[in-house]
Amino acid sequence: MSSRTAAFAAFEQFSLTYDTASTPSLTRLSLDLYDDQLTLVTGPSGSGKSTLARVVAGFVPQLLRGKIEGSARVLGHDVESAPLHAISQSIGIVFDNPFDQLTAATKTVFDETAYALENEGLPRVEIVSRVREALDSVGLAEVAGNHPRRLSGGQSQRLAIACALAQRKPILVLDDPTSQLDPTGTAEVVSMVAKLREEHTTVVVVAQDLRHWLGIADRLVILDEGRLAADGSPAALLAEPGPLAAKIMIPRYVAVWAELRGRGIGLSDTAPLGTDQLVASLQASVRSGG
Amino acid sequence: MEGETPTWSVERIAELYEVGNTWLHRVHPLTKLAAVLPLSVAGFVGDTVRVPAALLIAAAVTLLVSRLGIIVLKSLRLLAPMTIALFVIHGVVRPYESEPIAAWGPISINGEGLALAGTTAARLAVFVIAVTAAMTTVHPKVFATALIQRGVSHKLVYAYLAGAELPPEMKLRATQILDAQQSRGFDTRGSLPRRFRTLFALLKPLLVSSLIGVEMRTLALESRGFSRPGRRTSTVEVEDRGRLLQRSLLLAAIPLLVLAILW
Repeated sequence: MSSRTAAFAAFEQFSLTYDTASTPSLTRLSLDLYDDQLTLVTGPSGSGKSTLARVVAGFVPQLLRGKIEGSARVLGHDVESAPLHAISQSIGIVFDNPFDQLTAATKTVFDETAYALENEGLPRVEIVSRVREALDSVGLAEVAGNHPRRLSGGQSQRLAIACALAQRKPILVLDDPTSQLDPTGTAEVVSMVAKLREEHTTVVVVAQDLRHWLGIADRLVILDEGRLAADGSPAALLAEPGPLAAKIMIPRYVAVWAELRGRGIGLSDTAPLGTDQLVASLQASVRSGG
Repeated sequence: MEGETPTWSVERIAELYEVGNTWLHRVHPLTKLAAVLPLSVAGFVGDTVRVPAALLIAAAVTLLVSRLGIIVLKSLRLLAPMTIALFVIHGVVRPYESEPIAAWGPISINGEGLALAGTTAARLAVFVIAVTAAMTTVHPKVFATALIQRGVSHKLVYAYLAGAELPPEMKLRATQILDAQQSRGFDTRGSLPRRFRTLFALLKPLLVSSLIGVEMRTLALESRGFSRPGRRTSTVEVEDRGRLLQRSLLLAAIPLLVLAILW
Protein backbone atom coordinates (compact mmCIF):
# COMPACT_ATOMS: atom_id res chain seq x y z
CA MET A 1 0.00 0.00 0.00
CA SER A 2 1.18 3.53 -0.74
CA SER A 3 2.04 5.68 2.23
CA ARG A 4 -0.44 8.44 2.96
CA THR A 5 0.36 11.76 1.39
CA ALA A 6 -1.59 15.02 1.35
CA ALA A 7 -5.38 14.93 1.20
CA PHE A 8 -6.75 16.37 -2.05
CA ALA A 9 -10.33 16.15 -0.79
CA ALA A 10 -11.57 16.65 2.76
CA PHE A 11 -15.17 16.10 3.87
CA GLU A 12 -16.14 17.36 7.31
CA GLN A 13 -19.60 16.41 8.60
CA PHE A 14 -20.76 16.86 5.02
CA SER A 15 -24.43 16.32 4.23
CA LEU A 16 -26.09 16.80 0.86
CA THR A 17 -29.73 16.64 -0.18
CA TYR A 18 -30.30 17.19 -3.89
CA ASP A 19 -33.01 19.71 -4.76
CA THR A 20 -34.78 16.92 -6.61
CA ALA A 21 -34.75 14.53 -3.62
CA SER A 22 -36.44 14.43 -0.23
CA THR A 23 -33.80 12.35 1.57
CA PRO A 24 -30.09 13.14 1.87
CA SER A 25 -27.66 11.38 -0.46
CA LEU A 26 -24.75 11.93 1.93
CA THR A 27 -25.14 12.29 5.70
CA ARG A 28 -22.54 13.77 8.07
CA LEU A 29 -19.71 12.30 6.04
CA SER A 30 -16.20 12.88 7.36
CA LEU A 31 -13.57 11.52 5.03
CA ASP A 32 -10.20 12.49 3.54
CA LEU A 33 -9.05 11.30 0.11
CA TYR A 34 -5.30 11.18 -0.43
CA ASP A 35 -2.96 11.83 -3.32
CA ASP A 36 -1.11 8.93 -4.93
CA GLN A 37 -3.59 6.29 -3.86
CA LEU A 38 -6.29 4.23 -5.49
CA THR A 39 -9.28 4.66 -3.21
CA LEU A 40 -12.02 2.14 -3.90
CA VAL A 41 -15.47 3.32 -2.82
CA THR A 42 -18.25 0.78 -2.55
CA GLY A 43 -21.62 0.24 -0.92
CA PRO A 44 -25.13 -0.87 -1.79
CA SER A 45 -27.27 0.95 -4.35
CA GLY A 46 -28.29 4.38 -3.09
CA SER A 47 -25.45 4.53 -0.57
CA GLY A 48 -24.11 7.79 -2.00
CA LYS A 49 -21.11 6.45 -3.93
CA SER A 50 -21.84 8.30 -7.17
CA THR A 51 -22.78 11.43 -5.27
CA LEU A 52 -19.39 11.34 -3.56
CA ALA A 53 -17.76 11.05 -7.02
CA ARG A 54 -19.78 14.02 -8.30
CA VAL A 55 -18.84 16.19 -5.31
CA VAL A 56 -15.16 15.33 -5.77
CA ALA A 57 -15.42 16.19 -9.49
CA GLY A 58 -16.82 19.62 -8.58
CA PHE A 59 -20.31 19.11 -10.04
CA VAL A 60 -22.09 19.70 -6.71
CA PRO A 61 -23.61 22.20 -6.16
CA GLN A 62 -22.61 24.09 -9.36
CA LEU A 63 -24.40 21.77 -11.80
CA LEU A 64 -26.27 19.41 -9.50
CA ARG A 65 -27.91 21.66 -6.96
CA GLY A 66 -28.72 20.68 -3.42
CA LYS A 67 -28.75 21.68 0.23
CA ILE A 68 -25.35 21.33 1.84
CA GLU A 69 -24.40 21.11 5.51
CA GLY A 70 -20.88 20.75 6.84
CA SER A 71 -18.00 21.32 4.45
CA ALA A 72 -16.18 19.68 1.56
CA ARG A 73 -12.90 20.99 0.21
CA VAL A 74 -11.42 19.68 -3.01
CA LEU A 75 -7.92 20.76 -4.02
CA GLY A 76 -8.20 23.45 -1.37
CA HIS A 77 -11.43 24.86 -2.82
CA ASP A 78 -14.69 24.94 -0.89
CA VAL A 79 -17.07 23.11 -3.27
CA GLU A 80 -19.91 25.47 -2.38
CA SER A 81 -18.12 28.56 -3.65
CA ALA A 82 -15.48 27.32 -6.10
CA PRO A 83 -16.13 27.79 -9.83
CA LEU A 84 -16.49 24.42 -11.55
CA HIS A 85 -13.41 24.75 -13.72
CA ALA A 86 -11.21 25.41 -10.66
CA ILE A 87 -11.80 21.79 -9.71
CA SER A 88 -12.52 20.18 -13.08
CA GLN A 89 -9.23 21.36 -14.57
CA SER A 90 -7.39 19.01 -12.20
CA ILE A 91 -9.89 16.20 -11.75
CA GLY A 92 -11.10 14.02 -14.60
CA ILE A 93 -14.20 11.89 -14.36
CA VAL A 94 -15.21 8.75 -16.22
CA PHE A 95 -18.84 7.65 -15.97
CA ASP A 96 -20.46 4.24 -16.16
CA ASN A 97 -22.01 4.68 -19.61
CA PRO A 98 -19.24 4.49 -22.20
CA PHE A 99 -21.13 6.38 -24.90
CA ASP A 100 -23.12 9.11 -23.14
CA GLN A 101 -19.95 10.74 -21.87
CA LEU A 102 -18.69 11.43 -25.38
CA THR A 103 -19.25 14.95 -26.68
CA ALA A 104 -21.41 13.67 -29.58
CA ALA A 105 -20.01 16.55 -31.62
CA THR A 106 -16.85 15.04 -33.07
CA LYS A 107 -16.19 12.74 -35.98
CA THR A 108 -12.92 11.16 -34.87
CA VAL A 109 -11.34 9.76 -31.72
CA PHE A 110 -8.57 12.32 -32.21
CA ASP A 111 -11.02 15.26 -32.21
CA GLU A 112 -12.84 13.83 -29.20
CA THR A 113 -9.59 13.77 -27.23
CA ALA A 114 -8.65 17.24 -28.45
CA TYR A 115 -12.00 18.81 -27.50
CA ALA A 116 -11.06 19.81 -23.94
CA LEU A 117 -7.66 21.11 -25.04
CA GLU A 118 -9.30 23.32 -27.67
CA ASN A 119 -11.57 24.67 -24.93
CA GLU A 120 -8.45 25.47 -22.91
CA GLY A 121 -7.14 27.52 -25.84
CA LEU A 122 -3.86 25.60 -26.14
CA PRO A 123 -1.71 26.07 -29.26
CA ARG A 124 -2.40 23.60 -32.09
CA VAL A 125 1.04 22.00 -31.92
CA GLU A 126 0.67 21.28 -28.23
CA ILE A 127 -2.84 19.87 -28.67
CA VAL A 128 -1.66 17.46 -31.36
CA SER A 129 1.29 16.35 -29.27
CA ARG A 130 -0.78 15.82 -26.11
CA VAL A 131 -3.56 13.97 -27.92
CA ARG A 132 -1.10 11.61 -29.59
CA GLU A 133 0.60 10.96 -26.26
CA ALA A 134 -2.72 10.33 -24.45
CA LEU A 135 -4.10 8.02 -27.14
CA ASP A 136 -0.82 6.16 -27.24
CA SER A 137 -0.86 5.63 -23.49
CA VAL A 138 -4.36 4.12 -23.53
CA GLY A 139 -3.65 2.05 -26.62
CA LEU A 140 -6.01 3.87 -28.97
CA ALA A 141 -3.48 5.50 -31.30
CA GLU A 142 -4.39 3.10 -34.10
CA VAL A 143 -8.06 4.10 -34.05
CA ALA A 144 -7.45 7.86 -33.79
CA GLY A 145 -9.17 8.42 -37.15
CA ASN A 146 -12.23 6.28 -36.34
CA HIS A 147 -15.61 7.69 -35.40
CA PRO A 148 -16.02 7.54 -31.59
CA ARG A 149 -19.35 5.74 -32.07
CA ARG A 150 -17.53 2.82 -33.69
CA LEU A 151 -15.50 2.05 -30.55
CA SER A 152 -16.33 -0.85 -28.26
CA GLY A 153 -17.44 -0.15 -24.67
CA GLY A 154 -13.97 -0.81 -23.28
CA GLN A 155 -12.34 1.38 -25.93
CA SER A 156 -14.83 4.18 -25.18
CA GLN A 157 -13.96 4.07 -21.50
CA ARG A 158 -10.27 4.20 -22.39
CA LEU A 159 -11.04 7.16 -24.63
CA ALA A 160 -12.71 8.93 -21.70
CA ILE A 161 -9.55 8.27 -19.66
CA ALA A 162 -7.42 9.55 -22.56
CA CYS A 163 -9.41 12.80 -22.58
CA ALA A 164 -8.52 13.33 -18.93
CA LEU A 165 -4.89 12.35 -19.51
CA ALA A 166 -4.57 14.77 -22.42
CA GLN A 167 -5.68 17.51 -20.05
CA ARG A 168 -2.87 16.37 -17.72
CA LYS A 169 -5.33 15.91 -14.89
CA PRO A 170 -3.47 14.41 -11.94
CA ILE A 171 -6.60 12.93 -10.36
CA LEU A 172 -9.10 10.55 -11.96
CA VAL A 173 -12.53 9.70 -10.60
CA LEU A 174 -14.03 6.59 -12.18
CA ASP A 175 -17.73 6.15 -11.44
CA ASP A 176 -18.53 2.47 -11.91
CA PRO A 177 -16.49 2.44 -15.12
CA THR A 178 -16.89 -1.28 -15.85
CA SER A 179 -20.54 -1.82 -14.90
CA GLN A 180 -21.69 -1.75 -18.54
CA LEU A 181 -18.71 -3.57 -20.04
CA ASP A 182 -18.17 -7.17 -21.04
CA PRO A 183 -15.23 -9.10 -19.52
CA THR A 184 -12.85 -8.02 -22.29
CA GLY A 185 -13.77 -4.34 -21.88
CA THR A 186 -13.51 -4.64 -18.10
CA ALA A 187 -10.03 -6.17 -18.35
CA GLU A 188 -8.94 -3.38 -20.71
CA VAL A 189 -10.05 -0.65 -18.31
CA VAL A 190 -8.69 -2.29 -15.14
CA SER A 191 -5.31 -2.89 -16.78
CA MET A 192 -5.27 0.73 -17.98
CA VAL A 193 -5.94 2.00 -14.46
CA ALA A 194 -3.28 -0.32 -13.02
CA LYS A 195 -0.80 1.22 -15.46
CA LEU A 196 -1.82 4.71 -14.36
CA ARG A 197 -1.27 3.74 -10.75
CA GLU A 198 2.26 2.62 -11.59
CA GLU A 199 2.75 6.16 -12.85
CA HIS A 200 1.38 7.49 -9.52
CA THR A 201 -1.86 8.93 -10.85
CA THR A 202 -4.33 9.47 -8.02
CA VAL A 203 -7.47 7.44 -8.66
CA VAL A 204 -10.86 7.16 -6.98
CA VAL A 205 -12.89 4.20 -8.23
CA VAL A 206 -16.56 3.84 -7.37
CA ALA A 207 -17.69 0.24 -7.88
CA GLN A 208 -20.21 -2.25 -6.62
CA ASP A 209 -18.37 -5.22 -8.04
CA LEU A 210 -15.05 -5.21 -6.17
CA ARG A 211 -13.38 -8.27 -7.63
CA HIS A 212 -11.47 -6.50 -10.43
CA TRP A 213 -10.28 -3.59 -8.33
CA LEU A 214 -9.15 -5.08 -5.02
CA GLY A 215 -5.81 -6.18 -6.44
CA ILE A 216 -4.80 -2.60 -7.23
CA ALA A 217 -6.68 -0.71 -4.49
CA ASP A 218 -4.76 0.94 -1.67
CA ARG A 219 -7.81 1.72 0.40
CA LEU A 220 -11.42 0.61 0.66
CA VAL A 221 -14.19 3.01 1.70
CA ILE A 222 -17.65 1.55 2.32
CA LEU A 223 -20.69 3.81 2.33
CA ASP A 224 -24.13 2.85 3.55
CA GLU A 225 -27.20 5.09 3.37
CA GLY A 226 -24.99 8.09 2.72
CA ARG A 227 -22.81 7.47 5.76
CA LEU A 228 -19.27 6.22 6.14
CA ALA A 229 -19.63 2.58 7.21
CA ALA A 230 -16.01 1.44 7.00
CA ASP A 231 -12.64 2.74 5.87
CA GLY A 232 -9.34 0.88 5.78
CA SER A 233 -7.10 -1.48 3.90
CA PRO A 234 -9.06 -3.79 1.57
CA ALA A 235 -7.49 -6.97 2.99
CA ALA A 236 -8.24 -6.04 6.60
CA LEU A 237 -11.77 -4.82 5.94
CA LEU A 238 -12.75 -7.85 3.89
CA ALA A 239 -11.23 -10.21 6.46
CA GLU A 240 -13.85 -9.09 8.95
CA PRO A 241 -16.64 -7.27 7.14
CA GLY A 242 -19.17 -7.93 9.93
CA PRO A 243 -22.76 -6.92 9.08
CA LEU A 244 -21.52 -5.12 5.94
CA ALA A 245 -20.96 -8.52 4.32
CA ALA A 246 -24.66 -8.60 3.47
CA LYS A 247 -24.55 -5.16 1.88
CA ILE A 248 -21.50 -5.25 -0.35
CA MET A 249 -20.53 -7.65 -3.11
CA ILE A 250 -17.85 -9.78 -1.49
CA PRO A 251 -15.77 -11.34 -4.28
CA ARG A 252 -16.02 -15.11 -4.53
CA TYR A 253 -12.31 -15.62 -3.81
CA VAL A 254 -12.76 -13.76 -0.49
CA ALA A 255 -15.90 -15.76 0.32
CA VAL A 256 -14.06 -19.05 -0.37
CA TRP A 257 -11.13 -17.91 1.79
CA ALA A 258 -13.51 -17.01 4.65
CA GLU A 259 -15.35 -20.35 4.33
CA LEU A 260 -12.13 -22.37 4.38
CA ARG A 261 -10.81 -20.45 7.37
CA GLY A 262 -14.12 -21.00 9.11
CA ARG A 263 -13.61 -24.73 8.63
CA GLY A 264 -10.24 -24.55 10.30
CA ILE A 265 -7.96 -24.55 7.27
CA GLY A 266 -4.90 -22.48 8.05
CA LEU A 267 -4.89 -19.69 5.50
CA SER A 268 -3.38 -16.21 5.71
CA ASP A 269 -4.89 -13.80 8.24
CA THR A 270 -5.67 -11.14 5.68
CA ALA A 271 -8.23 -11.64 2.94
CA PRO A 272 -6.87 -12.40 -0.53
CA LEU A 273 -7.21 -9.53 -3.03
CA GLY A 274 -7.39 -11.77 -6.05
CA THR A 275 -7.70 -15.41 -7.07
CA ASP A 276 -3.92 -15.69 -7.36
CA GLN A 277 -3.51 -14.63 -3.72
CA LEU A 278 -6.08 -17.22 -2.63
CA VAL A 279 -4.25 -19.93 -4.58
CA ALA A 280 -0.93 -18.84 -3.08
CA SER A 281 -2.42 -18.96 0.40
CA LEU A 282 -3.83 -22.45 -0.24
CA GLN A 283 -0.49 -23.68 -1.61
CA ALA A 284 1.30 -22.32 1.47
CA SER A 285 -1.25 -24.03 3.70
CA VAL A 286 -0.82 -27.37 1.91
CA ARG A 287 2.96 -27.09 2.12
CA SER A 288 2.81 -26.40 5.83
CA GLY A 289 0.34 -29.27 6.36
CA GLY A 290 -2.41 -26.82 7.45
CA MET B 1 -9.96 16.55 -44.50
CA GLU B 2 -9.16 15.33 -47.96
CA GLY B 3 -8.88 11.81 -49.24
CA GLU B 4 -10.10 9.27 -51.70
CA THR B 5 -13.69 9.54 -52.82
CA PRO B 6 -15.64 6.67 -51.26
CA THR B 7 -17.85 4.33 -53.31
CA TRP B 8 -21.55 5.06 -53.74
CA SER B 9 -23.80 3.74 -50.97
CA VAL B 10 -27.02 4.53 -49.11
CA GLU B 11 -24.92 5.47 -46.05
CA ARG B 12 -22.86 7.85 -48.17
CA ILE B 13 -26.00 9.63 -49.41
CA ALA B 14 -27.33 9.82 -45.82
CA GLU B 15 -24.10 11.36 -44.44
CA LEU B 16 -23.93 15.09 -45.05
CA TYR B 17 -20.18 15.74 -45.41
CA GLU B 18 -18.47 14.41 -48.52
CA VAL B 19 -14.68 14.06 -48.67
CA GLY B 20 -13.18 15.72 -51.73
CA ASN B 21 -10.99 18.45 -53.21
CA THR B 22 -13.21 20.08 -55.83
CA TRP B 23 -13.39 23.85 -56.42
CA LEU B 24 -16.48 23.92 -54.20
CA HIS B 25 -14.59 22.19 -51.39
CA ARG B 26 -11.94 24.92 -51.63
CA VAL B 27 -14.40 27.83 -51.30
CA HIS B 28 -14.40 29.34 -47.78
CA PRO B 29 -17.17 27.70 -45.69
CA LEU B 30 -18.80 31.03 -44.83
CA THR B 31 -18.80 32.12 -48.50
CA LYS B 32 -20.79 28.98 -49.32
CA LEU B 33 -23.12 29.70 -46.43
CA ALA B 34 -23.53 33.34 -47.50
CA ALA B 35 -24.39 32.24 -51.05
CA VAL B 36 -27.36 30.27 -49.76
CA LEU B 37 -29.30 33.47 -48.98
CA PRO B 38 -29.28 35.22 -52.41
CA LEU B 39 -29.77 31.88 -54.21
CA SER B 40 -32.79 31.02 -52.07
CA VAL B 41 -34.30 34.51 -52.49
CA ALA B 42 -33.68 34.35 -56.25
CA GLY B 43 -35.91 31.28 -56.38
CA PHE B 44 -38.84 33.53 -55.44
CA VAL B 45 -38.33 35.99 -58.31
CA GLY B 46 -41.31 35.79 -60.67
CA ASP B 47 -44.56 34.01 -59.95
CA THR B 48 -43.91 30.94 -62.10
CA VAL B 49 -41.63 27.94 -61.97
CA ARG B 50 -39.31 29.39 -64.64
CA VAL B 51 -36.72 31.18 -62.45
CA PRO B 52 -36.36 28.46 -59.76
CA ALA B 53 -36.31 25.80 -62.50
CA ALA B 54 -33.57 27.66 -64.38
CA LEU B 55 -31.57 27.96 -61.16
CA LEU B 56 -32.03 24.25 -60.46
CA ILE B 57 -30.91 23.25 -63.94
CA ALA B 58 -27.87 25.53 -63.68
CA ALA B 59 -27.02 24.13 -60.24
CA ALA B 60 -27.45 20.51 -61.33
CA VAL B 61 -25.31 20.97 -64.46
CA THR B 62 -22.60 22.79 -62.50
CA LEU B 63 -22.54 20.08 -59.84
CA LEU B 64 -22.48 17.24 -62.36
CA VAL B 65 -19.71 18.86 -64.38
CA SER B 66 -17.78 19.38 -61.12
CA ARG B 67 -18.19 15.65 -60.34
CA LEU B 68 -20.40 16.53 -57.38
CA GLY B 69 -23.48 14.60 -58.51
CA ILE B 70 -23.69 13.16 -54.97
CA ILE B 71 -25.02 16.55 -53.86
CA VAL B 72 -27.94 16.21 -56.29
CA LEU B 73 -28.68 12.74 -54.87
CA LYS B 74 -28.45 13.94 -51.27
CA SER B 75 -30.81 16.81 -52.12
CA LEU B 76 -33.26 14.49 -53.86
CA ARG B 77 -33.31 12.26 -50.80
CA LEU B 78 -34.34 15.24 -48.68
CA LEU B 79 -36.73 16.67 -51.25
CA ALA B 80 -38.57 13.55 -52.40
CA PRO B 81 -41.01 13.21 -49.47
CA MET B 82 -41.68 16.98 -49.34
CA THR B 83 -42.25 17.19 -53.10
CA ILE B 84 -44.66 14.23 -53.08
CA ALA B 85 -46.57 15.80 -50.18
CA LEU B 86 -46.76 19.16 -52.00
CA PHE B 87 -48.15 17.58 -55.17
CA VAL B 88 -50.72 15.54 -53.24
CA ILE B 89 -51.85 18.53 -51.15
CA HIS B 90 -51.99 21.10 -53.96
CA GLY B 91 -52.84 18.84 -56.88
CA VAL B 92 -55.36 16.47 -55.30
CA VAL B 93 -56.54 17.47 -51.83
CA ARG B 94 -56.89 21.24 -52.00
CA PRO B 95 -60.08 22.41 -53.79
CA TYR B 96 -59.82 24.89 -56.73
CA GLU B 97 -62.45 26.79 -58.72
CA SER B 98 -60.91 25.85 -62.10
CA GLU B 99 -61.83 22.64 -63.94
CA PRO B 100 -59.75 19.54 -63.02
CA ILE B 101 -57.50 18.13 -65.77
CA ALA B 102 -58.36 14.55 -64.76
CA ALA B 103 -60.84 12.89 -62.41
CA TRP B 104 -61.41 9.35 -61.10
CA GLY B 105 -64.54 9.27 -59.00
CA PRO B 106 -64.01 11.47 -55.93
CA ILE B 107 -60.34 12.01 -56.81
CA SER B 108 -59.51 14.85 -59.20
CA ILE B 109 -56.25 16.45 -60.30
CA ASN B 110 -56.17 20.19 -60.68
CA GLY B 111 -53.75 21.88 -63.10
CA GLU B 112 -53.62 25.10 -61.09
CA GLY B 113 -52.71 23.08 -58.01
CA LEU B 114 -50.02 21.15 -59.86
CA ALA B 115 -48.46 24.41 -61.09
CA LEU B 116 -48.44 25.83 -57.57
CA ALA B 117 -46.97 22.59 -56.20
CA GLY B 118 -44.30 22.62 -58.91
CA THR B 119 -43.31 26.23 -58.23
CA THR B 120 -43.22 25.70 -54.45
CA ALA B 121 -41.22 22.47 -54.83
CA ALA B 122 -38.74 24.15 -57.18
CA ARG B 123 -38.23 27.07 -54.75
CA LEU B 124 -37.75 24.63 -51.90
CA ALA B 125 -35.33 22.63 -54.06
CA VAL B 126 -33.19 25.72 -54.75
CA PHE B 127 -32.82 26.28 -51.00
CA VAL B 128 -32.17 22.60 -50.22
CA ILE B 129 -29.60 22.15 -52.98
CA ALA B 130 -27.80 25.35 -51.94
CA VAL B 131 -27.62 24.28 -48.28
CA THR B 132 -26.65 20.72 -49.22
CA ALA B 133 -23.93 21.93 -51.55
CA ALA B 134 -22.55 24.17 -48.80
CA MET B 135 -22.68 21.55 -46.05
CA THR B 136 -21.58 18.59 -48.18
CA THR B 137 -18.35 20.27 -49.19
CA VAL B 138 -17.20 21.47 -45.78
CA HIS B 139 -16.08 19.26 -42.93
CA PRO B 140 -18.20 20.06 -39.84
CA LYS B 141 -15.09 20.83 -37.82
CA VAL B 142 -13.82 23.28 -40.47
CA PHE B 143 -17.22 24.94 -40.54
CA ALA B 144 -17.32 25.13 -36.74
CA THR B 145 -13.83 26.62 -36.63
CA ALA B 146 -14.76 29.23 -39.28
CA LEU B 147 -17.84 30.22 -37.32
CA ILE B 148 -15.94 30.53 -34.02
CA GLN B 149 -13.28 32.63 -35.81
CA ARG B 150 -16.03 35.10 -36.71
CA GLY B 151 -17.23 35.33 -33.13
CA VAL B 152 -20.13 32.86 -33.14
CA SER B 153 -20.68 31.39 -29.66
CA HIS B 154 -18.97 28.00 -29.23
CA LYS B 155 -22.14 26.80 -27.49
CA LEU B 156 -24.17 27.54 -30.61
CA VAL B 157 -21.53 25.80 -32.72
CA TYR B 158 -21.69 22.79 -30.40
CA ALA B 159 -25.47 22.68 -30.90
CA TYR B 160 -24.93 22.58 -34.68
CA LEU B 161 -22.31 19.82 -34.45
CA ALA B 162 -24.29 17.75 -31.94
CA GLY B 163 -27.44 18.24 -34.03
CA ALA B 164 -25.67 16.80 -37.06
CA GLU B 165 -24.65 13.76 -35.01
CA LEU B 166 -28.08 13.29 -33.43
CA PRO B 167 -29.79 11.06 -36.05
CA PRO B 168 -27.05 8.39 -36.16
CA GLU B 169 -26.75 8.53 -32.38
CA MET B 170 -30.48 8.00 -31.86
CA LYS B 171 -30.36 5.18 -34.40
CA LEU B 172 -27.53 3.52 -32.49
CA ARG B 173 -29.37 3.93 -29.17
CA ALA B 174 -32.59 2.50 -30.65
CA THR B 175 -30.68 -0.46 -32.13
CA GLN B 176 -29.07 -1.18 -28.75
CA ILE B 177 -32.46 -1.12 -26.99
CA LEU B 178 -34.06 -3.26 -29.69
CA ASP B 179 -31.22 -5.78 -29.51
CA ALA B 180 -31.59 -5.95 -25.74
CA GLN B 181 -35.35 -6.45 -26.00
CA GLN B 182 -35.03 -9.08 -28.73
CA SER B 183 -32.44 -10.97 -26.68
CA ARG B 184 -35.10 -11.20 -23.93
CA GLY B 185 -37.56 -12.80 -26.34
CA PHE B 186 -39.38 -9.66 -27.50
CA ASP B 187 -40.85 -10.45 -30.93
CA THR B 188 -40.57 -7.51 -33.32
CA ARG B 189 -41.83 -9.31 -36.43
CA GLY B 190 -45.35 -10.00 -37.62
CA SER B 191 -48.45 -7.93 -38.31
CA LEU B 192 -48.71 -4.14 -38.45
CA PRO B 193 -50.42 -3.85 -35.00
CA ARG B 194 -47.64 -5.97 -33.51
CA ARG B 195 -45.00 -3.75 -35.12
CA PHE B 196 -46.75 -0.67 -33.68
CA ARG B 197 -46.66 -2.27 -30.23
CA THR B 198 -42.93 -2.84 -30.78
CA LEU B 199 -42.49 0.82 -31.67
CA PHE B 200 -44.23 1.97 -28.48
CA ALA B 201 -42.24 -0.52 -26.41
CA LEU B 202 -39.10 1.00 -27.88
CA LEU B 203 -40.06 4.64 -27.38
CA LYS B 204 -40.18 4.68 -23.58
CA PRO B 205 -36.69 3.27 -22.92
CA LEU B 206 -35.37 5.37 -25.80
CA LEU B 207 -36.75 8.54 -24.23
CA VAL B 208 -35.57 7.65 -20.71
CA SER B 209 -32.08 6.64 -21.82
CA SER B 210 -31.81 9.82 -23.92
CA LEU B 211 -32.75 11.98 -20.94
CA ILE B 212 -30.24 10.23 -18.67
CA GLY B 213 -27.70 10.54 -21.45
CA VAL B 214 -28.22 14.29 -21.67
CA GLU B 215 -27.47 14.73 -17.96
CA MET B 216 -24.32 12.63 -18.16
CA ARG B 217 -23.20 14.40 -21.32
CA THR B 218 -23.67 17.78 -19.64
CA LEU B 219 -21.43 16.71 -16.77
CA ALA B 220 -18.86 15.20 -19.14
CA LEU B 221 -18.78 18.36 -21.26
CA GLU B 222 -18.34 20.57 -18.23
CA SER B 223 -15.51 18.34 -17.09
CA ARG B 224 -13.89 19.17 -20.44
CA GLY B 225 -14.19 22.89 -20.06
CA PHE B 226 -17.36 23.48 -22.09
CA SER B 227 -18.32 26.59 -20.10
CA ARG B 228 -14.77 27.64 -19.42
CA PRO B 229 -14.31 31.34 -20.14
CA GLY B 230 -11.60 32.53 -22.52
CA ARG B 231 -10.21 32.02 -26.00
CA ARG B 232 -10.55 28.68 -27.78
CA THR B 233 -8.35 27.08 -30.37
CA SER B 234 -8.87 24.42 -33.01
CA THR B 235 -6.79 21.57 -34.37
CA VAL B 236 -7.78 22.57 -37.90
CA GLU B 237 -6.51 25.70 -39.60
CA VAL B 238 -9.06 27.75 -41.54
CA GLU B 239 -7.74 30.77 -43.38
CA ASP B 240 -9.91 33.76 -42.51
CA ARG B 241 -10.64 35.14 -46.01
CA GLY B 242 -13.45 36.24 -48.31
CA ARG B 243 -15.09 38.72 -45.95
CA LEU B 244 -15.85 41.18 -48.78
CA LEU B 245 -17.33 38.47 -51.00
CA GLN B 246 -19.42 37.14 -48.14
CA ARG B 247 -20.80 40.61 -47.36
CA SER B 248 -21.49 41.19 -51.07
CA LEU B 249 -23.41 37.92 -51.31
CA LEU B 250 -25.50 38.80 -48.29
CA LEU B 251 -26.17 42.29 -49.69
CA ALA B 252 -27.11 40.81 -53.08
CA ALA B 253 -30.09 39.23 -51.38
CA ILE B 254 -31.65 42.70 -50.85
CA PRO B 255 -32.28 43.67 -54.52
CA LEU B 256 -33.35 40.09 -55.24
CA LEU B 257 -35.83 40.31 -52.40
CA VAL B 258 -37.20 43.59 -53.77
CA LEU B 259 -37.46 41.99 -57.22
CA ALA B 260 -39.22 38.94 -55.77
CA ILE B 261 -41.76 41.16 -54.00
CA LEU B 262 -42.40 43.44 -56.99
CA TRP B 263 -42.40 40.75 -59.76
